[in-house]
Order: sequence, then structure tokens, then C-alpha cells
Amino acid sequence: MNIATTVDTSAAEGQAFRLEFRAWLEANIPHEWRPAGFWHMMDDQGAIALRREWERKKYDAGWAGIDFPVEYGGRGGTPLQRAIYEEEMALANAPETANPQIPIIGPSLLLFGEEWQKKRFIKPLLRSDELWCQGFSEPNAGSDLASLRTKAELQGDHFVINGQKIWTSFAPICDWMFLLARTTSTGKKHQGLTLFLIDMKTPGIDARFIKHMTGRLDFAEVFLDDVKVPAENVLGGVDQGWKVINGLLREERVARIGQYAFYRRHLELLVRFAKQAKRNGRPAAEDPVLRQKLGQVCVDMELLRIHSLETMAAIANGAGQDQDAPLTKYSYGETHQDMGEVFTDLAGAMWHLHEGDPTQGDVDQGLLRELQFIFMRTRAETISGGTAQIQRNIIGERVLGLPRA
Amino acid sequence: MTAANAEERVLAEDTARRWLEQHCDLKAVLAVAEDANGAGHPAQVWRAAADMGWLGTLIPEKYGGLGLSLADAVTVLRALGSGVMPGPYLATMLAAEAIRLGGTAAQQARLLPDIAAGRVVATVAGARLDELDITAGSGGKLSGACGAVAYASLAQILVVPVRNGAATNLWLVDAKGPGVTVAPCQSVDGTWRVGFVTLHGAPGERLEGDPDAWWRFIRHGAVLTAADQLGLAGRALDITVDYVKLREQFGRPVGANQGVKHPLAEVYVAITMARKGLFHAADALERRERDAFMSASVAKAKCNDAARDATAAMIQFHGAIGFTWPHPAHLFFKRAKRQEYEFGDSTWHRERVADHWLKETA
Repeated sequence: MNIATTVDTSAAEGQAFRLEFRAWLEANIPHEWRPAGFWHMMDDQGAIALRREWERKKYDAGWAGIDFPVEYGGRGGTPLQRAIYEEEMALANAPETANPQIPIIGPSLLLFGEEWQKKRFIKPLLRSDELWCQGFSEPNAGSDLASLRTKAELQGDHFVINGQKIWTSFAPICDWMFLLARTTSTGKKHQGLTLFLIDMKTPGIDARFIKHMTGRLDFAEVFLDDVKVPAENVLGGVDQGWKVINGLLREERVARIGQYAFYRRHLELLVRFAKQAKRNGRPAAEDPVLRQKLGQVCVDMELLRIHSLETMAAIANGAGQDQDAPLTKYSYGETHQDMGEVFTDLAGAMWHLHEGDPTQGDVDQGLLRELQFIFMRTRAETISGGTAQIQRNIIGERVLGLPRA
Repeated sequence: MTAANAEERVLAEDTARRWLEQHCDLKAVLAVAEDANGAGHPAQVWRAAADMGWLGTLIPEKYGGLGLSLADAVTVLRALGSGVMPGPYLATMLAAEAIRLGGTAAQQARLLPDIAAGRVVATVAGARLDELDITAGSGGKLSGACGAVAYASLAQILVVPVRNGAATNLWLVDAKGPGVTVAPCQSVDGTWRVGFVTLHGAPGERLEGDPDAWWRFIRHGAVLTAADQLGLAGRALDITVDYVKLREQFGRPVGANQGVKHPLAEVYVAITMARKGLFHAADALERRERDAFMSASVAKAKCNDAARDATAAMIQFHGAIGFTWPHPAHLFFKRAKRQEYEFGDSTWHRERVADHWLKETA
């Protein structure tokens, strides 16, 4: 049993793919990128430029769009290979993607796009020649997304869009945005929504960064003032936006496989840190109370691994809808936050220092910085993509059958 | 596990549940709990356990059992746990498992057929995993305090862990034979019976097949106990969900409130993860995987927590009625809390998991 992976590659085909990609990563990730904390001690613009360059190199070597069809610029692989890819990326500490919307907009185009849209958009997306952002949330439409107010009106051969989007990660540096807007105001509120593909250079778009609490640039707000979008840039049909979003559930499940390997690496960093940090003059790893806390996140992580194994088996068997998607999302968020708490417990008073406190052991500075970042970043995980509260509503109502309020 | 036997397993569990519901429902269980001086041994349940093969789930076919896997035993015990079933079936299955893992072919052939057929009740000392000070003297005479032992008064066969230097060996004792005293003790959990056992030079017989069987046995014991806990947890959640759908306050079902809905969603998540962890551990132990001991610890730690949370929620979300004696919530809660400390509490298991990770990570 390999406790680092959730994809069973005992079958030769998967294993060959895994080893080939692993070798490529080993040969192509520069050594200076590898130590813990490398990406966390660099400015945002520098990191994005490096990551963009890396994405192109990876694409040109054939290691992008793993399960996208060859005709649209993908590798033409299987969901299983895609999952292996995600795992190997995380295990190698490969850079985070410069184009984080690939798993959302990519499958949307594939499943709901017109032929010209697939041909036009998928390849530059996969190669990060064009960066994409997601215009869903609004100041007054967060968890209750369907009550969004950004309006799109058909005028001849184009739509005119007015409104405001928020939490639109990386919008100021993105080339395209897929935006959800209201096209019909009568009837049920989720039935009048449409997805648009919008060129960010279109006049009337103003995008501004909003700093994260981690200090990083990521979030943004986008103002749309009489933005003209060609009618052919509708994705999936007018008033069909909600259907498109709901069609992505299975995709999200495959995408989440990589998340285990990503967290698994964080757990390794945490365990390594436990051996370096000292509490009361003794290694933190020897403190029985801290061992209990560490043991608990190890238990939860092992359960997530088993859960991911089962999910992968279901995908391999062609299972469709995933009843446990909210359970998965909820469990990952909670477990990652617990890991962050164990970090601060291990580090004690030095958790917030940019350099390790020499009286608290010989701690690797990059390791400390990365764990610090992870700790803060995890606070977002029970908010983004449906809060932990919304997930519990869904579990309560759809799985347990409890009445709606 | 193949899809075919997964289906069979669901069917077997369903059959067991329905049989138990018809022949020993929660009212009958409460009656057993109220009869504190009774044997805690409903005859119809024991007969069913023998006739339907539950007792012999893990016993090889050549010794009268079904020769099935740990995952099958987990399924059977989950069904029994979901009925909060009183009786010495778990104690007997644990003893049989110790004999299966540690005994020679001759020992198994002599003892297991009677157990599979329900002709004898067997039990095990040392389930709380604290080190017992039982020693073997000359001629295999065992002495020492065994502490609290499940169904000690009823059992004919007793399995005890005996210290042998740094090692622990499993021994058999005739529980009705000389040198064995049993002092019955009442338990807050009325769904079982328990007694203090002391050995004073009791004739013992070592399980000679695998001298290290103790370490395997306590992992198997953890998984089998956790199966009962998982049964408790699942049924507790089902009953509670049914109740909060119907019970109305402020003009609507209480289950519509997020203050009720969210904790129950959390219990569902905990039970789901516990179930996955438990079946994974059962398979890992079956295949004797290198890290199987860790899988068992993960499973027991999670089942402990899930069973506690589910049964506590059962009391909480029934309101005052859930705190009353006639309501079954306390049967679930007390049993879950009792089993939490058998074959390793969460503290014991978390320590083993942490230790494993600290050793495995460079």
C-alpha cells in the first residue's frame, strides 16, 4: 500500500503513465523551486510569471489537458490518468496552476460549448496562453448565487451587460472571463441565468485586485458598465446557465482527487515540523498532547484517502451523480483547517514569526512560512465554492431528507 | 470484495436486521436491561446467532463455520449493534477469533465447532488493553486478576493474555474449572453482563499455533467491536432523523432548523467516514497488509467518535423524552460509551497513528 496515493495503479497501464510523468517532473522542475516555502517567499507578480512559463513548457511536452480530447488540444487520456496526473503534480510540489479555472471552464466548454467555441478556447486555456477568471459571485449573491443581479440584455447581435462581480480571482491579469448574468427576470430565479464568455479587453470592464488576508493578491472585483458581448459568446444556451453549472459536479469530483495528494504533502510538512520545533525544551513530537492532535489529523487524512480511493473506483466504473459531493467538500475543508490548528499548536508562540525563534528549535524557515500560509489559507476552504453551512444544509435536506426551513 | 458478495452481504445484513426487529425489538432490549440480575442472554437471539451462522462467520467451514471474511463479520455485527442486541455473541466471536488466529489445527478442531453451533459461550479477558498481570506457573497453572470480563458468569471458555517476558501469549482456561472465581458486577450498560475474573492456579492451555497472535487479535478485536458501534451509530441517526421530521415546535418540524440539521449532517459525515474506514481496515487485516494495524487504529478511533456523537445526538435531539428511562436513547448511548474503551480508546489509537507517521516521515 502506498499511503501517498489514492489511485490504484497496480494495473500496468496506469503505472506506466505515472512513472513517465514522474520522471518528466523530476527532470523539469528546477531544483531551486523545490524547498518548502519557495513560492511563499516570492512576490505575486514574479510567481505568476514563473508559473505561466512553466504551464507552457508542460503543455508543449504533452502534460496538460490530460483527459481532454486530442482534437481540442488535450492529451486524450482517461479520467484515471487525469487523477494520477493530479497526484503526481502534488507529490512533486509542482507549481500551482497559473490558470485555476481550467477544471471548471474546460469541461463546461467541452460539455456545453459549440464547436467553434471548443476550437477557439480550449487549447489556449490548457496552455495558459489565455488566463480565465470566473464571474459568479456578487456583493449580494454569495451562497444564494441565483439571486445575482448582473443583467444581460439582447440588443441585435450582441448582449449589453451591466453589473458587478466580486471574489473574481485574478481578474485584473486574466484574458477571459466566464460570467453568469441574468437574462430573464420572470419565473424561478435560477431559470433566467446565462453563461457568457467575455474578452476582458472589452470596453466597460474595470477589474481591481482585493488583497487576501494572507497578504496575497488573488481576489478581485469587476465592474461591468455597458459591456458589449457578441451573442455567439453565450455558453450552453440563453437561460441555461444553471444547468451548465450543475453539469460540472462529476468534473469537480475528478479534480478533487489531486486535493488529497496536495493535503498529504501538507501533512508531511506538518510532521516534519513537529520534529524540528521544540516545546518546553523538548521536541514537539514528544509531547503526548501534541501527538494526540497530530494523530487525529492523521486519522482524518487516512479516512479522506480511503474516501478518495472509493471515489476513484466509482469514476472508473462510470458512476454519474455523486451523492457524497457535499460530504467530500465539507470533510476536506474541516480536515485542512484542523491541520492548520495543529501547526499553530506545534509552533506555539512562534507560529506568526517570519523567521523561526532560535529558542524554539532549529526550524526550517521555508517550512515555517509555508505552514503559516497554509494555516491562513485554510480559512477560505469552508467558504469558497459553497460554505460549510451550505454543505450541511445540502446533506441534511438531500441525503437525510430533513425539511427545508 | 466482488460486487456479487457485496450484494449478498447487504441481503444478509438486511435479513438479520429484520429478524432481530421481529424477535428482540428495542422494548425487549429495555426489558433485558431492567432485569439487572438476569443472564442478559435472550435465548431466541442466541439460537438465531447459531442457526444463521453469525457466530461462525469467521470460523473455517471445516470447523462448522461459514469461513467468511472480516468484512462479513463486520456486517453481521453491525446488524446486531443496530438492534443494541444483548447476549454473549460478540464475546464468543472474539474468543473464537483468538482461537482461529492463535490456535493450532488441533486446538481449532476441538473448540471451534462447538462455538459455531452455539453449544458453548466463550469470552476474552484483556479487552481494555491495559497490561494485565497474569502469569503462567509450573504445569501451565495461571494466576492473576483478569479484571472485568464480558459474560464471565455464563462463559465456559475463557481466553486470557498471559505475559511472557516482553511478549504476550494467548491462553485458554476452562471458565467453569478449578482455580477460576467470578464475581458478577453491575454495569451502567444494561445490554450486556460482566464479571470480575480472578485466576488462582487455574489450569491453562497455551494457543500454540501463532505465539504472536495477540497483536493480530487486538486489531481484529478492535474492528469487530467497532462494527457493533457502527451499528449503534447508524440506527441512532435513523431514529433521530425520523423523529425530528415529525416533531413540531414553533409551527414547523424541528429538523427544519439549522441548529438541528447541521449537527445531524455532521453525524452523517462521521458515520460515513467511519464506515469507510472500518471496511477498509477489515480488508487490510484480511490481506495482512503491512500497514493494516494502522488502518485498524484509524477505524476504531473514528468509530469511537462517531458512535459517541451519534448516540449523544440521539438524546439531545429528542429533547427531554430522550433523557428518560423508557426511551431507548440511553441504551445506545451507554453501550457506545462502554465500547469506546474496549480494544483501544481513541487516545490509544491516535497515539499509534501519530507514532506511525512520525516514523514514516523523513
